Amino acid sequence: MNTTLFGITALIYLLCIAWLGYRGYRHTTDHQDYLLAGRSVHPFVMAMSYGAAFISTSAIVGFGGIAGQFGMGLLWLSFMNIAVGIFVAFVFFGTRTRRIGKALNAHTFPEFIGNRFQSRGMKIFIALIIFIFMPLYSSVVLIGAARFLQSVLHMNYHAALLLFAAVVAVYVIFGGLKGVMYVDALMGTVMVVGLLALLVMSYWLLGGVTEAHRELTAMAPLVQERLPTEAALGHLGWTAMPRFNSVWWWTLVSSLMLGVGIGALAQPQLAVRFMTVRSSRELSRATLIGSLFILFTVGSAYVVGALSNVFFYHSDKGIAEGVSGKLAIEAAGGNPDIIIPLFISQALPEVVLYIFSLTLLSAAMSTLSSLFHVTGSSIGHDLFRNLVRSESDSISITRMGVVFGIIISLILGFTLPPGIIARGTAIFFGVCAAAFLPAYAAALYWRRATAAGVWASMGTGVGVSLFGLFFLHRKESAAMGLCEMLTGKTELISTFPWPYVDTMIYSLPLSVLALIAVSIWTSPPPAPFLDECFQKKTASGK
Amino acid sequence: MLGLGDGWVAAAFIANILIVLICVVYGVLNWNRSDEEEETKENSKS
Repeated sequence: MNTTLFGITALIYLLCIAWLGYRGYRHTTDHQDYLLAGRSVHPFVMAMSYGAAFISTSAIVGFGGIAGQFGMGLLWLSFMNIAVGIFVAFVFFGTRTRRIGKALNAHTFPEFIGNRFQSRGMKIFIALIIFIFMPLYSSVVLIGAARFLQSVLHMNYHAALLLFAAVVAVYVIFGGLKGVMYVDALMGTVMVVGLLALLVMSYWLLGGVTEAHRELTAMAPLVQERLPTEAALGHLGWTAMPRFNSVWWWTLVSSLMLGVGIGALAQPQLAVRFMTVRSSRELSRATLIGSLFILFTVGSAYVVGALSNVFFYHSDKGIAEGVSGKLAIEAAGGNPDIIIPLFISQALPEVVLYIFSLTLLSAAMSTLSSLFHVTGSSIGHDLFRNLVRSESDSISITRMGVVFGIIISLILGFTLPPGIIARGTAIFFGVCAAAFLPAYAAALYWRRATAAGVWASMGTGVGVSLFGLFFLHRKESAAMGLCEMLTGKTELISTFPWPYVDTMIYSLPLSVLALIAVSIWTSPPPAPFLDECFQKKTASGK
Repeated sequence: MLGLGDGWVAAAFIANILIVLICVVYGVLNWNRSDEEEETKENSKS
């Protein structure tokens, strides 16, 4: 790769980001602009921003690499991303979030839930969850981007970490959500162009869609021959689902399809975007744009990841000397994270490498900026104001919260070992889904839900999730070591499939049950307040 | 189908395209429909 040429391209890109960030800064005059982009964002900007915040580098490189290792079964995850993460989210959650959020004068996710259930303590609790776990997730994205800059531009890792954080920090701190969403729209467009080019080029080089799939299907016997570890986990070929009830089947279905697929509904950084548009018309338009965005980005990454096996294995598909004859995971030295970058650098023209490099940087920056903004608004707007019981609201307090959140993420990026950080992300996703999803859905659809019911649901969700992560789900419990320290075993129940069942499979239903049981048992909220929330029209048309 | 070895993966491939089509059709049908019109319709029904 020509480092100078990429450096110049990246510089032009950074100047575009600076201009968009400045535009956000110039148009930000009050806290509603800073937290909700003035509630008047264009549907294209909203959809691209939602998608770009949703899809991080790990979705492209990480899951794309897993598709290279295990195959196209991951397309069920992209289906869930579109069906649940876009259609259900925009149509069933988005329209009501926007309307009720406006009626309740909510600017953030904690404020939305807290105002809906008339509880200051709830705002503080949700903000605390975000404050504790989101910097862990931010640091994963930050580290991934710094490692990428280190390998492409040959930069010092720590300098890359600081530089990347500083660039994102500037437009988040000054531009607020307007700056973040304008930049996200640019980045989302780059992501679509980069990944669509990658997909089209891969199919074209392999002789078309059906021919490419046929070649990959014909390689299935190589799994037994060359990949005994993957075969033992249930891998049956790159165009086949894993063996039913195998380890990989449980991981794909429970952790990826359901855990990641459904978990996206309760992500605070995504939910807040529904409140940035003027009406449900913008959300309908964004549904169309967002679905295409997800198909062209993650759908492309998963297909290309699997097809990379054909390129790596056959010597006549444009692969450089020394790689041909290997399967993707073999060429990557056993590390699935390297499959996609290796494939890009070895199999495709250099111009695609530049586009793809910008695509990866965009994916990381857009996710990171959203996380910084939500963490900062939780600290400044929700936590600080409610703890000191201050009614005053200023952009300065929220900006200070953003700075504080960025500093914590940086410190974690510098200090914590990668294994712990990666597990921290899993904890954040698990806790978010089980703790927030039932409360969020009830806030939108169930008038009978009470504050006590929501407290019970969130408590159950957090408690059961953490118990599952520390004591039942092997991937996390083994890494954390608490279960082994107390019981001498890496997990409490070693009987298959329990060590591989995602915690959300049991924590979410228990959280829902707690919400329903306690809500029914306690007094319903006052009807006038609910009418105000749901903006029920009276007979006089008021 | 489509050169894919397994019916479930072929179904996933087609399901991705179908769900995007549903989103596109929904977006087009509701392109100009906003909350205010929805509320008006609800009121006229009642």
